[in-house]
Amino acid sequence: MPFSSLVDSLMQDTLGVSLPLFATELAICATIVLLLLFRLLNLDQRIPGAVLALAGSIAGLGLAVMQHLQYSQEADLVGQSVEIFTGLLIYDQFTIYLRIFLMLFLVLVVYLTMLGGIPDREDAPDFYVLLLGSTLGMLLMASANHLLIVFLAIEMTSVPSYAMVGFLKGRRQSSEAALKYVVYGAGAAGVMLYGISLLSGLLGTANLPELAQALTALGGADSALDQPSLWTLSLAILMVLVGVAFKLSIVPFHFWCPDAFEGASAEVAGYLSVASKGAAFALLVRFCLAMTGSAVPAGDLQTVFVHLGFGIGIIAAISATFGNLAAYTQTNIKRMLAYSTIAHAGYMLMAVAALLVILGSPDAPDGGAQRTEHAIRAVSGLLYYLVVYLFMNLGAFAIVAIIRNQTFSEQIEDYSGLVRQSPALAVCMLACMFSLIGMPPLGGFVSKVMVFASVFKSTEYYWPMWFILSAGVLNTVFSLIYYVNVLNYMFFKPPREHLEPVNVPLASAYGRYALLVTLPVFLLGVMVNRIDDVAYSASASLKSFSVPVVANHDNADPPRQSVRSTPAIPAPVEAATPVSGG
Amino acid sequence: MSNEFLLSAIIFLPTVGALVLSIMDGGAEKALRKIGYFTTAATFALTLVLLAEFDSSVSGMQMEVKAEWIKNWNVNYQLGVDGISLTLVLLTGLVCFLAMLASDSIKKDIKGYLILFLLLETGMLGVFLSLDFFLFYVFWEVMLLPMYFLIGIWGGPRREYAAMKFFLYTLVGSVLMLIALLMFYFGSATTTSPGSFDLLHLARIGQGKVPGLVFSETLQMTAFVLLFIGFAIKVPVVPFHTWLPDAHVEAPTPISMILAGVLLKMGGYGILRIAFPICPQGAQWASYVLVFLGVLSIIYGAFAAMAQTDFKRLVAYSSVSHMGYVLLGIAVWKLSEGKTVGAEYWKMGMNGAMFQMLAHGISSAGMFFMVGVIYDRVHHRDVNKFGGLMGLMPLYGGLAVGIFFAGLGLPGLCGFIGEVFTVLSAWNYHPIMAIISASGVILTAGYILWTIQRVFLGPEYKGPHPEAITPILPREAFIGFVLLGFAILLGVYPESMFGLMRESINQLVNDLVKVDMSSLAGVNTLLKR
Amino acid sequence: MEGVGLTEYLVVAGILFVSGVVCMATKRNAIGVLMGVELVLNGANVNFVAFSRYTKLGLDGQVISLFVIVLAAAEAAVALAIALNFYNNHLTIDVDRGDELKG
Repeated sequence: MPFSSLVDSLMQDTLGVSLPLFATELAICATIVLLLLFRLLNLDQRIPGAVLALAGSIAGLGLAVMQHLQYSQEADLVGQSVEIFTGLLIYDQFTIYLRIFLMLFLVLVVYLTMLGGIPDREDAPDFYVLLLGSTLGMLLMASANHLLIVFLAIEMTSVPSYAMVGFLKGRRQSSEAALKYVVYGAGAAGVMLYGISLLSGLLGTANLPELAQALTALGGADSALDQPSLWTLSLAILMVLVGVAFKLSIVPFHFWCPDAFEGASAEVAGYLSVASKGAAFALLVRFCLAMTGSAVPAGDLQTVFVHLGFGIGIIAAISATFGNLAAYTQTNIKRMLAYSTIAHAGYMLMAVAALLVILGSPDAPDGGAQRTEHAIRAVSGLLYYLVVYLFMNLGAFAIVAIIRNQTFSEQIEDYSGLVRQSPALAVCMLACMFSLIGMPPLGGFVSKVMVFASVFKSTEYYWPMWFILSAGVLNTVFSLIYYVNVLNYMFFKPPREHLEPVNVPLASAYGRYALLVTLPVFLLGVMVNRIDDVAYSASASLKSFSVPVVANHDNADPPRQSVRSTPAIPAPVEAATPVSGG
Repeated sequence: MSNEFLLSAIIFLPTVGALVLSIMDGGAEKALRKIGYFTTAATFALTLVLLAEFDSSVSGMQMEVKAEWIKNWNVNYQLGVDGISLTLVLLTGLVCFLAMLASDSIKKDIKGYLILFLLLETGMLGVFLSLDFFLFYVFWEVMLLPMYFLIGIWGGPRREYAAMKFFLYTLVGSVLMLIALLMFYFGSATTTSPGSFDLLHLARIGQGKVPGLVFSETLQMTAFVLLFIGFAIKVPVVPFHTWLPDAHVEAPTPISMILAGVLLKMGGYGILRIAFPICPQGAQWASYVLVFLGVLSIIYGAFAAMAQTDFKRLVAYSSVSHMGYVLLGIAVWKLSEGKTVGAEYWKMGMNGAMFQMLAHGISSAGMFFMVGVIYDRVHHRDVNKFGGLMGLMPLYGGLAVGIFFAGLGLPGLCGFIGEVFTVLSAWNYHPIMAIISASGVILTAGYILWTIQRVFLGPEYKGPHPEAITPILPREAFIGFVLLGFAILLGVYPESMFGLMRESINQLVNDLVKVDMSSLAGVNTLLKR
Repeated sequence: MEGVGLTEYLVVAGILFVSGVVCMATKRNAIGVLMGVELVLNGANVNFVAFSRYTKLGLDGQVISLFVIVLAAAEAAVALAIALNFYNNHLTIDVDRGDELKG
């Protein structure tokens, strides 16, 4: 193919299709560039970096919302997905959902940092560049369609967050936390990359949708599958999951989490606890669906995936239990919330385990007629949980930040008597804590029921999932005590004399922010339908659910899956398959 | 007010009151209390309106409301009232109103107390009126938050321990209920329709009335066990009762009244509304164990009460004992070769159990209130250090003795009816059990009379702060008269309550009797008798 | 003698990977740990290039390894900056000496 026509088609694809759909990320990039330029030209004296970052985030959020509206209003777009940038990224409703999630979270976090005064004025552009860069990586994680992007996006998320954790340079704890985090994170990323290399090499492709086809060809019932190949494949998948498990702070890759959260400032800890979970879960769901397609074809591979799902479930149960039990002895509230993060990552991972079991299990009730439906439900429950988790966790960390600004303490016992000094803050913390436990009528209850319901469904496909369900349910009870412990101090005990009183009335900026973040926790428990519908259509739009995987048994190059074009979006021109060497 | 909104109004009027209170100034004590009185009185008035609108000749649900809530999961906002719920709603309205009047003894942080109190009332009314399992569960749990804080902030010396224990026990029961909820939801799903949370629909499936859809025995037995444990913690049934003495003792008087008067009934209500109708085969399979536990509660509670020196703890254990009659009356379902024998006796037992719930609500709330009256004065509860109160506070003594006699089960007062009917129904089921539970009456009489003798009779008051013993206040006397009045009314004219509940309870028994138990013949009943 | 095939490359990559992991796990010096990370990343790179040559992966493998080189450099830069910050605060580069955050 002549080079010029290749360049032409690429330009057409990029400028005409990919870049417009990439609008949110472009807004973030522009903000980063502006921040750096302003820093360079000393314009940050006039316009604080925080304001610029906030403006950029709101612009990104607006663009993402516009894309969502466009999708939901044009009926023929519903369920369509577009591969952009020659198949590296994918754009569908799932992407948009995650974009809105991440951008909304970014706006709230930037606003919190503006209120809280961390970072200070000169360092602000640097901090916001890191924050926005990390978010950009997360946006890429949410729309990854190629194993290279999987790795790049995870690294793009992690590397700025290493620096953010260590941002308070003068604090000893901060530097120690950052060092532990970077060592751990780099190691996990390296292992993950090795796994990616094995996986893409064995299957002959690094494009996620093609992975399923190649797996089918490799492991189908009538192919010559030798055991070493299957073992290596399983090992490769596990290694990739190591990288994701690190991001999710799942046992046994969780060791960085309490230290990083304790060493970082509360805003950064809050950011890490929610956003990276959301993006990592999106990535994990895409990866799992890439492996399994809309159902695993019968054969040796089925046992691999069912056992993988069950194994993930066991790890999820262990994470939830470990996180809940380890939180009991904590006296620093950020550390306690770090363990709570580990536990909640465990609950959310149970939904992914249920997904894998539902898709992979050989014996299905009703002969597998409802398999796709149940899988979609599992993912949509996970997405709902993420939204509720955003608000309840951010609320908790925001209140920690507010109190730290007043009392300079992060010890739980220094929260005594808060209800007398700032009743509004105490009630907001109460809502967040009870939602984290999972009590109705708050959002945490509804989301937990959704996740447990999908795990329950998976028990009909594979009965050992009962262990996972019981572990999840029991952990709700385990988690009660340490969350209520914080409330004990706030409500039952008298205030400590040696501390500054925390005087945050509802009308102050802090109070209004706390209310802004906590109100959705109540609303999401009662008005469930709207977000649930959006989550459901986002899950249903995932490519594996709308396009059946075509089993390809011949050894020729599998053709790149054609993209459904719509009148509104010009059909991207397929780039030629690169000629393989050798 | 149209019937459609009556039920929702009853549930949410206290919430409106709580919202009004939340924007008021925390220092305006009198105004806050007035709003509290007004709200609970208005709610009680609405329940009386409900009584007036209720048609007691109809056995099914009345005034049903059904609105879509969570579309994708088929969760609906569904309310309804029948004979079983009506009586409990009336009881709740009355006890909450009286407890609000008794809340004058709460001195600190009135605003928070009243808001939590009203939220608690919303939760309780919601539990009794909701017909959707998910909605039921939400209201059930909504009750826990205010209760935790009410005990933990305004309670006695060990209040935090008691509050935590209460929360933990109830939460364990709740999560077991959650598993059963999921089992029913997914079990009721067909290829054409998603699962259902509608309690009436689930009951029809469980009783085999829906063609093509059944709950298997395994599901019924497992779900019954899970539900029973969850509700048994609330009733409370020995051995799940250990949270009760601590919670009752440490809670302030008005909260003890609500705890004993209403909260315990929610366990019995749950068994009647959910566990038995939806899992009849499970209920039959476990019937002997249930009867055994009921009798065990009666005897154990009575012996434990006899050993107490703390007045409030004594009354708490008497609650455990009295609720044993409730379980006994519900569980006496005798089956012989797959057919129910003596369904009339079972109906008597069910009606008696329901009546016992109401009677215990009145008498127990009264007993706790009476303990609270004297505790407010002398600040101790050691039974052995009382005495001679009849002479010092004659009106109080008279009212208290009357209410304690109601707790004892003196004929002519409310406690007698429930006990006699449940014990009689047990005779058909298993005579030995009936004899043992009848002897529980003797034990009850023993400890109550002994307590009355130690506390009220005798020549002189032997405890601290004798100067604080002032005559009973008009407000306190009003509460006492109301409760004693109802105790006498229910004891002399039980038809007032039976007339309301009979149709619905008999319908329940008729439905359960008709369930095909032949498939259960192969399954060993739990502890074959 | 037989030509060098895919297996040999994979073995070399495997050795690099294992030595990198051992380095990460056992070194007390933070710089040493980072060297281990680099070894792991380069082991993966060798894998990519080998698969690119011998399987259907094609040029994708070589492109990926280019990206990985760049990314490893960026990561190393940040990691070294953090190690320097740690040194400024603790006056040591020994990872075992960071033990104030516990529990």
